[in-house]
Amino acid sequence: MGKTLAEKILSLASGVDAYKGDIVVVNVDFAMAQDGTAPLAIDAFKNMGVEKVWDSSRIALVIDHNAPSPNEGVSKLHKMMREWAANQGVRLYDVGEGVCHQLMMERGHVKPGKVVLGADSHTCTYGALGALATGIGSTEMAAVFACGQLWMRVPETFLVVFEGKLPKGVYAKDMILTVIGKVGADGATYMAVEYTGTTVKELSLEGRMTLCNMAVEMGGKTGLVAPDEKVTEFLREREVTDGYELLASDEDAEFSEKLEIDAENLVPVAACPHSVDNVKPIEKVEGTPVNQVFIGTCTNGRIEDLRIAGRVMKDRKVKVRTIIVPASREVYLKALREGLIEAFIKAGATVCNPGCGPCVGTHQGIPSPGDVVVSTANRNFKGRMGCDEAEIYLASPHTAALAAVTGEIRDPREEEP
Amino acid sequence: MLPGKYKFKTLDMGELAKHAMEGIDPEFSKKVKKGDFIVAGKNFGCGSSREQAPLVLKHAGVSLVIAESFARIFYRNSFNVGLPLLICKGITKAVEEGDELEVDMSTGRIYNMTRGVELRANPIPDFLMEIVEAGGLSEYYKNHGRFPWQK
Repeated sequence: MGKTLAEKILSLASGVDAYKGDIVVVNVDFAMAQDGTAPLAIDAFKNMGVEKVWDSSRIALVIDHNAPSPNEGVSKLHKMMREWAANQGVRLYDVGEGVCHQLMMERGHVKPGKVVLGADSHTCTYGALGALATGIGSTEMAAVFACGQLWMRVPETFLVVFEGKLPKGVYAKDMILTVIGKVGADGATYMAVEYTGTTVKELSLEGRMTLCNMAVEMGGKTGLVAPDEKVTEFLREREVTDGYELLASDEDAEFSEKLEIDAENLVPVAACPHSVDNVKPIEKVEGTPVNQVFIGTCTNGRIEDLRIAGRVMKDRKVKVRTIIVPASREVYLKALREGLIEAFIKAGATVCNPGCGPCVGTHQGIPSPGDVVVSTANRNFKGRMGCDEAEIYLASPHTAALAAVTGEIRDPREEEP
Repeated sequence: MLPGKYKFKTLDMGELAKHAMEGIDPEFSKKVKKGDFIVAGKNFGCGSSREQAPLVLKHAGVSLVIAESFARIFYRNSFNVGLPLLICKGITKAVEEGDELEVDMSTGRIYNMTRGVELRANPIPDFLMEIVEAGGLSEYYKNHGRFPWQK
């Protein structure tokens, strides 16, 4: 019987002929923890009494969720991370470098065909490079730090097929929100969500990252796109030229679920308060007054996202608080060179240092009760951004930027950026 | 399993356990006796990736959760803190609150003694049973000097 991409990667990583439902022990190619999860993992590591990590070249810690630190308690945790990383010889990406998932991909830590684990839910983003990447808890991460292996259950695969050309004003974010709206927040629980079809093939690597990033929001273990020349080109730029395999699902692989979508019928959408699967076509929420706009995150904080926002905001003024957070230093520099940062500042937006920004509700733009926020992030639960009585709409960077300059939710098909 | 507002108040699990399942049954922590089971429906553990969730149940006295299905990270975290889980399709139709169950975790056999009904759960893999028997992943490592999946 043929294998899915997920089955192939886990077979390779475990040395066993594995199929869905099997439990295997995999060799972890790379492991990452961020400042929300690393402190607990380090505590568990010390509590277990382990002296040295299994391979310091295969671990990275990132300070991004609270960067720079907003209070003394967090600062102590950051200090603990720095001390442990220095002691173990493990690389640490400090304040201002960027969001963990962006850095993991930019700095060449993710290779196609490998298993990559992160102590963060959106680790599934790296499926855009054809790696099997998933999130785990802090105690388990301590075990991975110690031995470089972990048990995993081989997931069933949910195949999502997009065919056709995306209409103007419709982006990868609208594609994935549409799927989550149809499938539900637990519609793909435990499964690998594999995206395929002509539309996906046409998407840039950044667009594919957006698709994979949100697989977890339908309960998925991971997101995957079979790697192609866009992946090899991206890796070549990062000086990763070998040590990986481009794999794909076999023709006769068994997919447990399948969803086919005609891309030409897609419309811009928004995930409405307070759940990610509460997805509605933009025309249903047009005219909603907005108080704050947030453009950034591991979902939509990359250069292509900032370019779209820059085109919308060029020579215009924002009507509401607009917070823009480049996902990494590299993205920030590119945006600077392309005149985007200048456009944002002239428009009256606030540009913050690379990091998670206000996404997790700890700093850099917590809304107040009654505020309506349009955000390019991946979660809109009650209290997500730090205020229970705020309302968060998730949308594409185009929709978000348009809300910034008009003061309300508008259909991005109305104007071409 | 634990209303968010309590999560940051204290790290004392005994204290937090008093609020276990408060959101759906404020009397839960008083009703549950050491060794009791929880029987649940689909996607038990949804929305939780923090280890406090299974820890609080364990400290409240719960010795096993049997559900139609579990959310992914909760499933893993639960075994890692020493709280075993069984996946059993159809369990919610076969059990009422207060029933006495006889469970063999290694074969997955569940016998409802009150109603005379037998069901089969997916048996717990050996190495996960070893983690539970040690009291959790950290404890297993301290006892054996290795992890259960390493030979």
